[in-house]
Amino acid sequence: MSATVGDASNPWLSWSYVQDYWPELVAAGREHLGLTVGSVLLAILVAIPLAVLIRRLPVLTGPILGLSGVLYTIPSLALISLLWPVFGLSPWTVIIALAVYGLLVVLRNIVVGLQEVPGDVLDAATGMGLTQRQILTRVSLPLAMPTILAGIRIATVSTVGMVTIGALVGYGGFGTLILSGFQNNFWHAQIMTATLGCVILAVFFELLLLLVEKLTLPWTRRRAS
Amino acid sequence: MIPGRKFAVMAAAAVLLAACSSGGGDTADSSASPAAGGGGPITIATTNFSETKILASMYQQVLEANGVDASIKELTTREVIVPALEKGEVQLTPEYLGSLTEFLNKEVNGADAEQLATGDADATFTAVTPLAEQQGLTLLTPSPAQDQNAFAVTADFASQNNLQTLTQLGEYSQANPITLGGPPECPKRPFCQPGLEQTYNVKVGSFVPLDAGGPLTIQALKQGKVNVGLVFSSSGSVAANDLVVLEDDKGLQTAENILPALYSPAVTDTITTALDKVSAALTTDELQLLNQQVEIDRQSPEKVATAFLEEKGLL
Amino acid sequence: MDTAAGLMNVIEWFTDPANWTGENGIPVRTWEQVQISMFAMIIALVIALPIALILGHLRKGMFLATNIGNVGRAVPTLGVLTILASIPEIGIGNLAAILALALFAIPPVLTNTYTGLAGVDDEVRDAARGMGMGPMGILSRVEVPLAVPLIAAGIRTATVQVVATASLAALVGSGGLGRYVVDGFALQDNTLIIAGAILTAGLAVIAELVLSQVQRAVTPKGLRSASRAEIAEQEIPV
Repeated sequence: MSATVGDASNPWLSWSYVQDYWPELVAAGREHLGLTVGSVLLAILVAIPLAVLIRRLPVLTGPILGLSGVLYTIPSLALISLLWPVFGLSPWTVIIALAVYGLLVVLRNIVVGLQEVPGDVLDAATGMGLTQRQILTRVSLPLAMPTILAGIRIATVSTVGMVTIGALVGYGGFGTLILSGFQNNFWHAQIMTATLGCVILAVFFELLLLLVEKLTLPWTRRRAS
Repeated sequence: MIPGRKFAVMAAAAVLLAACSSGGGDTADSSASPAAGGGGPITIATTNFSETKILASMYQQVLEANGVDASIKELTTREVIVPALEKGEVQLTPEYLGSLTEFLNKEVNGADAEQLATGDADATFTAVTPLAEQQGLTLLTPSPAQDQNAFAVTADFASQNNLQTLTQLGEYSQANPITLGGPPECPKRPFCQPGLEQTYNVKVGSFVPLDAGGPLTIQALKQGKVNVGLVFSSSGSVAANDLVVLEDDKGLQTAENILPALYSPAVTDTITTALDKVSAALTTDELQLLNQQVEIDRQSPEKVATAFLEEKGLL
Repeated sequence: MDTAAGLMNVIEWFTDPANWTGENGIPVRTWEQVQISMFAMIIALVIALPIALILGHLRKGMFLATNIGNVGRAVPTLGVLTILASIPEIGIGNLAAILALALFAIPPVLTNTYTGLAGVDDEVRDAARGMGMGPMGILSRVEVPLAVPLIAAGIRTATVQVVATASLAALVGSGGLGRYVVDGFALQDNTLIIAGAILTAGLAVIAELVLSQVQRAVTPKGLRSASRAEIAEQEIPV
């Protein structure tokens, strides 16, 4: 038998592949989901205190966002590689690296969202006797929500794509399958199925978070982005 | 700001999800508990290469058929697997005589240790056994089947330039320095570029880092990006891609017979007998056929292993 | 993990002249990365700019232009890269990387160019028409100059991402700075991995700094504040 690489016996779409390797696909999907959610949650957790800091000391806005902008430019391949000697073969290498990127998007959107609350609205609120804290929770945050949620959505969908790079350290969800399919004699079915799995997951999050935006903010028509 | 409770819930969720994702996936870091003296369950470590997966599946099926509880764990490279084996985190792995010898040699005698592995399988096995014992490992009888490093060119290149052996390649390269492709460590490994240059007087014009005998190397050969590539002698992809292996007529390569490596405390007679039968039944040609079924026909390593074992009456 | 020793090794690596010469040296690999990025950007611009200019001028195709970014984000670059490299006609090596990166660069350029053009005030366009300018004239003398900040921002974002992501190409057998990272993982050589990561990050940061200056230079003085569209569209480099 002389089948060369990339001919009829190596179809891009193969239902039998999906059936035979369903457990592996599901496991990869779960790992992908966990890494994505872990990263984004970590990003949000860190963004919140930083946003608070920026509100207290507006002079820090420039430096913090500026530093974020620089970190932003570092390719995820590089950041994961830099964390690898520290965290080794563990999901944390990937989660922390990806959380850095998510952080930048979320933080920027929180800051911009809050900054865009119209001055007269704030004046009116102060005039009504609300405390600073009440103004934040009852006025500013709700008005900034569209921008903030858009940021979370963008960060999440971007993270789904970046998780694939984690394959280099063994924690890449569908990315691990993509890479091993490639190294396994350019296994088209595995590469394509895993890539589609990734896309499906990204679309799922996009739609889910759009739904969350619509449900929690029924009164807003305009959305940032 | 954010009410304390919500913050705590989110933090807990993030940690939980991270923990969940570390539990799933088939490349988790080794955390199996060591088998406490012979008779316990056996975890078989394998690399990403389909050949080791086939071998590991054979070991697993044969052990299960003989009443030993065996499972497979996919790890990454020898640098990760052998230390795990020495600690008893995994108990068994299929290994290659020459490469394992040099790995243990460096572990025990230091990075500059003189090479012990040679083309003579018996002599190499004699040399490695005490090293293995020292590291807490037991090596079973090597199989006649080997998977050596080999250098391949396209069939056209070979016929156009009348090349069948590496010696002839050395002569050819004097006037036509070749482009060599191989794993990133090739320029530093005695079996690779330095070996070609010193033993065969091959003039290497440039080196392209690819993979260890994998699809990148095969593709690079076919596309003409390299003239000569490092492949594995039992690979199923070589002949299928119109490539030919040049003969190692001066014996540069070490013997790479396949042998099971075990964590010594986990060894039992049942295990030894069962695995010895597998080793004895395997030949290089049959291994190549099995690899072809997995690499080209895309059958699963498990199915291919089962068919082989049934054919040999071992299941 | 001994951080101090690790750092010393990295510094040694960078100060070793052997690493600055030859086909695996820093200059060669950096130049390969720049080349791959350049070709990818040229292809992306040739495809995205005309489409976006036409659509933006005609104010058509808003759905496509604004959502192509979302679609682009959802598709993993690693997937596209390996798929392209697995196609025999393309094969492994630089071409697969260039094509994958070009695909990756199209959405930000297209979206920003479209948004920039579509955002030009109708009154300004009417005034131009009133002065007797035809569609080409309006486009070249009014719309494009006004849209330059956003167009420049889009090109800059795309270029920096491409430069950064080009390191992935090493996984499918091409050159570039990613070689150090990929080979480092294969060799379990942390020094090489870290050096590669630093070089890749460094090149991306330099690209960002250079291009943001270029963007400033081509932006008419009156339009130099950071725009929201730029923030919302900023992609994360893979």
